[in-house]
Amino acid sequence: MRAALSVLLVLALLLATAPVGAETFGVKKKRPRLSEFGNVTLDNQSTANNQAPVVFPHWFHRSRYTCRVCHVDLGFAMRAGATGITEADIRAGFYCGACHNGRTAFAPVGTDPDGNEVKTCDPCHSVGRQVNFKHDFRAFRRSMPPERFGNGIDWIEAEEEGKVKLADYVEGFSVRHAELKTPKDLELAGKEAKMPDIIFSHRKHAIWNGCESCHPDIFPVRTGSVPYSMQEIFDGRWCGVCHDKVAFPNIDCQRCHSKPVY
Amino acid sequence: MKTPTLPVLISLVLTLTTPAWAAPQKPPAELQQLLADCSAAASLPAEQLPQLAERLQVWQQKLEQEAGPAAKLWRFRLNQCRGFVDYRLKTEQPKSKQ
Repeated sequence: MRAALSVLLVLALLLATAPVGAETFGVKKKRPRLSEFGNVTLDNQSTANNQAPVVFPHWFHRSRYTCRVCHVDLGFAMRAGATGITEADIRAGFYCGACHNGRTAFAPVGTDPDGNEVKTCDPCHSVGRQVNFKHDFRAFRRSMPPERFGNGIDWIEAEEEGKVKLADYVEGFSVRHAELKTPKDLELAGKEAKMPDIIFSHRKHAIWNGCESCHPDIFPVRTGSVPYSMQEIFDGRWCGVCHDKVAFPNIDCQRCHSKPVY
Repeated sequence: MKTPTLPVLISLVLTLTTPAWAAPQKPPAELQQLLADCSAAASLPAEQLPQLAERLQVWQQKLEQEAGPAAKLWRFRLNQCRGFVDYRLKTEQPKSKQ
């Protein structure tokens, strides 16, 4: 009896003191599947027009193009729905229609060999639909260098190994220019005790994203002039605009806090 | 009843030869040059930035009232470029001036 009472007492004490030391910030979110990491659902007008909303698979597009091509040259805003794309825009050859034109990629409306009109709506308007996609994520991932989080693909290594070749030009939209002066990588002091400092690959970010994707909308400040916290990043500000949504997630600490400590 | 053969034929030829998927209209040469300069804005010497900002403002005003996807896209790109040029002008000033 006494033993049982002691166990109960210890349990009660454990439960009462559990929040102490377990203090953390943010809300634990369910992680998406590897194949769905980076997917963006777009529903500007689809539901209103009795169409399934669009799922944009970032993984496939980023395996072929730099972020810059779409988010600068083609005019896609960084926030889902902010661009206000309409089907008329796409049919006029803009936005998705810059590539989905029947030449570079499938067009939403095409013709079969007999000249009949064929609509290809499902690969894009795929929310709630069983679609057999032409490009299989699992097969693609197996050929790529692995990573723990995100899509489960180390995209930087994939590019370095030549397994993905990212185009930075779309005919009719991009402008050929001399190679840009690439910025130097930065060392940023971490604020968390016992966390290594950050090595920010400014060069890689500039090549993939272009300068204007981040400055001034995401980073309107001179390096180090405004301290920002991990809480803000987890809440989707600063680095969190891309990291956790499309780029590797913020729980992969050592990807950024990477300065050797000895 | 007279059959309007020629107009029908012309319409048919036009219908068959016009692609269902339009190719986007290219921007005017001056705007193309401006977009090219924007692409190189990161490497542009600081003293050339105010002039680029002025040219951007002129085109931003020109496109303000224009409708259609082309104008929407060019406005987006010019605004983005203008933001970056202003950012460079602001951050590359000596600290004492800020």
